Amino acid sequence: MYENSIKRPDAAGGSVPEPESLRFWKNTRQEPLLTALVLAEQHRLQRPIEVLEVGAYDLSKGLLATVGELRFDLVLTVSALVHEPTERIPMLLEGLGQVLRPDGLLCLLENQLVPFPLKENAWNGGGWLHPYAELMPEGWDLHHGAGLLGTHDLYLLKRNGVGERRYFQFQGTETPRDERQPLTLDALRSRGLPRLRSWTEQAEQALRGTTGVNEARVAELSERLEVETERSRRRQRLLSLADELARVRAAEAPAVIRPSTSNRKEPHVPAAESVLLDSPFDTTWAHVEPRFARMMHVFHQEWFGIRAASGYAPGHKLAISADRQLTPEDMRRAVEACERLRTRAVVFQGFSPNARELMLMLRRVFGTALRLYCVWHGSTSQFHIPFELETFSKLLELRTEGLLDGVACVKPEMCLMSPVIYQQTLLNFPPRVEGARGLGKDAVRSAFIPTPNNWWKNFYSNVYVAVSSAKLDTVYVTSPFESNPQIPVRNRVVNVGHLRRPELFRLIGQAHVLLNVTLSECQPMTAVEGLAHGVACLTGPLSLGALDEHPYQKLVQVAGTGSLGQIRAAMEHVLELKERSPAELSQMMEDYSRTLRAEAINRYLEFTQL
Amino acid sequence: MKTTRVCIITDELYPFTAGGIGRLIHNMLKDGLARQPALEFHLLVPERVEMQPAKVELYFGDRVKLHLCRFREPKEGAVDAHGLYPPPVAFRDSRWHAESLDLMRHLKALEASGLCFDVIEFPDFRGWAFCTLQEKHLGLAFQDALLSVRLHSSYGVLVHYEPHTMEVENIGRVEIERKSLLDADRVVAHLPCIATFNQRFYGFDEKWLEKVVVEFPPVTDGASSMPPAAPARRDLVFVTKIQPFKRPDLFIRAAAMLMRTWPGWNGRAILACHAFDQDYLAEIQGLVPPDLSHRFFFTRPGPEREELMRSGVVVIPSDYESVNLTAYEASAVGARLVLNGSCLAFGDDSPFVDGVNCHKFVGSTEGLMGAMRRALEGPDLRPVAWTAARPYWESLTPVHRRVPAPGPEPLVSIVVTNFNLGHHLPETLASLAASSYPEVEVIIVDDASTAPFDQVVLERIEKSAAESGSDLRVIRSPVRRGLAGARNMGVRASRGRYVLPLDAEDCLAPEFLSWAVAALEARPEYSGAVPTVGCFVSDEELASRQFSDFATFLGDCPTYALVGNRVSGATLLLRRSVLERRPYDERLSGYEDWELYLRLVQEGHRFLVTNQVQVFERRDPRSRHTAPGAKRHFQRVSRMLEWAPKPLHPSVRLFAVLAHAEEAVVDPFGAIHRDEASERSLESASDERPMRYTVIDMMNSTLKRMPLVHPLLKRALGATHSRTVSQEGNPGEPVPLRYEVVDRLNTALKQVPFLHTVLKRAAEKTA
Repeated sequence: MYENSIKRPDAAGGSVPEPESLRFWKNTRQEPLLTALVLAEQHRLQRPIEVLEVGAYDLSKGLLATVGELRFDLVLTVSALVHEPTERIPMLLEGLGQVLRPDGLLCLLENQLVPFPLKENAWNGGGWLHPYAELMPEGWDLHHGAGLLGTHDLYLLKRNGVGERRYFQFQGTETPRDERQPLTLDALRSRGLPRLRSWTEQAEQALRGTTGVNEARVAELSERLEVETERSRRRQRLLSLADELARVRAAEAPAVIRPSTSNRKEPHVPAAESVLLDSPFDTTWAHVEPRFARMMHVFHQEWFGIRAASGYAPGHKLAISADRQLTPEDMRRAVEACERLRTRAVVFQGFSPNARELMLMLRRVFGTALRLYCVWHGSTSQFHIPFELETFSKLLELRTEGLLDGVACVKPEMCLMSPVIYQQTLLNFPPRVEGARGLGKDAVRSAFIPTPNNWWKNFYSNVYVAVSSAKLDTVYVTSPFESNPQIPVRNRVVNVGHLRRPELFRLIGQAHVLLNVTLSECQPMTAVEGLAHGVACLTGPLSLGALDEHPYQKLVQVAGTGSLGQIRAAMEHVLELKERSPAELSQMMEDYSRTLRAEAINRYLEFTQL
Repeated sequence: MKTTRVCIITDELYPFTAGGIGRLIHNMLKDGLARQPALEFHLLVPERVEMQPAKVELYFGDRVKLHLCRFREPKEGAVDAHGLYPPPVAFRDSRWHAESLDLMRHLKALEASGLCFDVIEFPDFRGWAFCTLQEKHLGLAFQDALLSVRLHSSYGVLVHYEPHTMEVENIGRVEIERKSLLDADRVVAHLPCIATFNQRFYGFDEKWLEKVVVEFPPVTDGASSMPPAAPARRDLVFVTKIQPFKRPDLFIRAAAMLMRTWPGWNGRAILACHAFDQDYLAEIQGLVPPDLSHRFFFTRPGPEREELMRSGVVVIPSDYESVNLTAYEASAVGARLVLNGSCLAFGDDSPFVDGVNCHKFVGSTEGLMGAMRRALEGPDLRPVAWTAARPYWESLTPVHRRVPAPGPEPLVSIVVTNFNLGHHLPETLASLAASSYPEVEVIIVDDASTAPFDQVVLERIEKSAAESGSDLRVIRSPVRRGLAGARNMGVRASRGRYVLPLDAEDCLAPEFLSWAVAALEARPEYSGAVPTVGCFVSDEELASRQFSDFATFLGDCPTYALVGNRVSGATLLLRRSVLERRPYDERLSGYEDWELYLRLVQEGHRFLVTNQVQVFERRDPRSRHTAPGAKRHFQRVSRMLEWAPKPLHPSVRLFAVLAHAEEAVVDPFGAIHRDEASERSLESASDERPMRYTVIDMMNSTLKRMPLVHPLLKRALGATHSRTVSQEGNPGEPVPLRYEVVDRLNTALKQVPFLHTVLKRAAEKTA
């Protein structure tokens, strides 16, 4: 809900907990930009300002109805408009304007400027590129900042009181309202050409792939496309009309708007959202695959391992709470997300009472239009925990009853447990990490063991092997390692504690080897995270089918997980190879990673019949 | 060779339960397994029957599998891939409709798990096939299965032969039985005359007979016949059941007459059979003349049954049987048989020939007495000879999938009628925009709305309509025409092959049109498709599909439609041609949809019904859903019946009107008097505290105020009774003595006709 995304930085820079999205932009180039903007406005007004960050959900709900009387000095969106069709943008901008104080700033970090609307076949399937210069309301100024943020442009909008549209070049965060460099609409249009060009190149590339298709088929498909486009336009018109009528109703007859049944919190008390759609935490490291555009992964915010696995997979992401009960409002947002993204398949990664409620709701609302799947991330070795056994049984029951269209596992051979389980094992994706495959590691030779120190993770065995190796200097761990003087420890052990993901990845990238030889494992995330960074990770036997024969898996797989000797031999083998022939190791890993990704994609597509 | 999988739905199976149908199925299984090696039987049995899969498999071998179907609790909802199903309590038309739904869900789940049947066979009684047939014809499941219904004896047919109370729920049962027979892919009859009897009885056309397969079943398990016995004294034996249409009364009268008129015969009349209705048993026992009572014996069936038949004359005077296994069984063990020749199962189609293997009589007591004497005096006859026909599943042709002819999707005209409901139009239009069916025109008919807000809304829609072209239109009526007039206006303006009337406050599920159009395109014999309705109050409820109430329908139900509208709610998909010929009657100011449906179903139009909730109806206190008063209701009903296109027979009209008198009918599920009854059904769904406890508590507190009376009474009663386990079986929780006493009193009172009802009603008034 909107309340959760409101941040009120005070003069000292803000002390309230930050929502996930704000943490994200703080870690990127957006952070200095947005912070500077906030400071500039505070300086101008000589008081702390009130900021509202608007997400995609808030827009679809109608802001005015939920914000009520509150007005803000700065209203910002980050990639919130990308899924909205262009015809809705003017109306949405007006809506954003209504929650802004008269002299407030509307700040859009959205697509790079284009001269006319374009639909892009991007990783998330249905992204629109909007020509904001054409879409802004009358009586507003637009300050356009291009090339500040890589894939995004900055659009600052403020009211001008002259009743017409004016355009300016954005002069910098110190002086966001500077009007020294006016622009014409034509000039702005030509600024949209580079993005248009890259779009056409992309389209051409896509077209080139279809040269073999005969012309008749093309003609037939074009005709079909035309019909479908007209139908979709018709549908869209009706939907826009319904939206418009709802707004008329809200404006003219506030009495019919019932207060939401969920607990309304005061806006200045931010709380974690129970439903997060495509949050940066879950999409930044995700693979791009257009065939997953209609797939939505639903997982739990609190279950870190599964959340990471889901976050690396292609497709849309809905992070729900496992601990807090979902309110009707949360449910509605989940439904709206599926509706808006035209989702075909929802894959629940893990299962909880909340997930079950959501499954039931989606089934009730969408019927067969939406296929529902669940991926079980556990294994039989956990069945001594009653929760695990019960949840697994419940899943099988839901599959048998027909509520779920499929149940799959990431633990190999779980299909032996029941014929209703998908016969293939689903594979976890490695995270998408750009340019991390360099071989320039630190001079300090280090191993990294990022596992909890419990017995089935085999923590001490891994650490003792690493600390006694002459090929290493330092061993990084994330859990407390305690030893006694009687046990000789050759290398330094550094406990870095719990790391956030960027820091974790940095440390993985610097390590020479990762150790994750556990006594029971499905598909360790550490292994795929290492793979993405070009760092070999030792594991126990994995049984991943065709990949078992791959030389890389043979290299890192330790058959005797309880054997210090075998772990040490495997580790030294890896380190030797890395020293002797780094290119060979790197190539082997590249190939493994490519095969794993392709296989993971295929299995997901086959499982979800997309 | 491909294995043929046959699934039989039953709640009887010999030797695990009693009943003739269970024996028949047992014989069919044994015979089928012996005939065809590549055959697998599956039995779907309600869980309440308490059969064990392992035992059944042990008895028949591993080619017979048993599946147990759990019927849901009254308020338990259900969801599957195709959507949401109403809880059983919502099926006010008849409880068997809800059972039929749960059977369908179970079959569908089996299919989804990969277990696909070539044949799914239902019995005709209870209409259990209803929901499975709808699901198949709407294209949602069972596309490769042949769905058949076997003619045993439906409740509808039995009602014809024995007195029953006019419970509305039973009218619902008759209707789902009728529709199951009409919608089935195949109907199985054991004799040709049974097929034609059912055809005439239900008023089906000749075409229906084309899908009927007549096959004589294996009536006994192995046809070993025994030589006749020569007893010193031969008795008359009645071994079927003490049930009106089995005619034990005729047996007793004829036997008594024989005893009086033939002094030379000193045999007995023995009734060795089940009697489930104790009142009827008492009535039958009362027919025995006191001076002859020493020659009449009533007993339950026991191990001596076969010997009793073999050494006696087995009399089967039933008015109606579709096939009677007892007659074949008796003949096989060498019994002499007396059969009612006018009963279809013993008629000319059957293997029974008078004077050859049995003695037949027609109708009267004298006739039966004559036949009894002939059987007692005459020589032994031959055992009846029969041959079981080859079962239809042995010669299956691949099921012809009905798919709509390829071509562009036909246009559907959605006629949205509005009168001052503009507030709700955003949700309604959004639901239409979300429909997965692509070819739709929306016609909004405004019936002269007066609210200023509606004017604003209509102007906006008109503006949008002007930009949209013909797929969105607004028609404004200058005067108020009422729902019928407004809908007719919309139909006249429509261009689609199909029309869907929709009230401005209601919403449509996304898939309904796609399913309904595909089904109607593939099956021209249906005139429309009816959605099940879920009712909501708030938009939150709508968004989360949390319905506070439901309305379930039967589609074509010509008898029920006389009593209440169970054909469809206001929204359904109809062929436009139907509505053009039969528009809504604009003279009516209420029940206009019911009246239209009544005319259509009386004319023989047929409808498919979705099992899933597909239309969402707003229950807004400000909107039109207000129940008319009793007088107005009667006026409307009588007008509807008077104006029927073909004059209804006076007795039919009388029935229809009488059915609305609360005194005349038992309406436990609120099928007619809906609001009260829904409360009542909800009450009964919860743990209800018997009223007698409240009454006795009141009396108890009064008694306690009188010195000594209470302790003395308690001591006197307590000396004779003590019960420490409550009825619910909570050990250790003592039941108050007064409750125990009043329970016993209650049981006694119930045995006196009417007294209990009168007392209860009086107590209710006092309470």
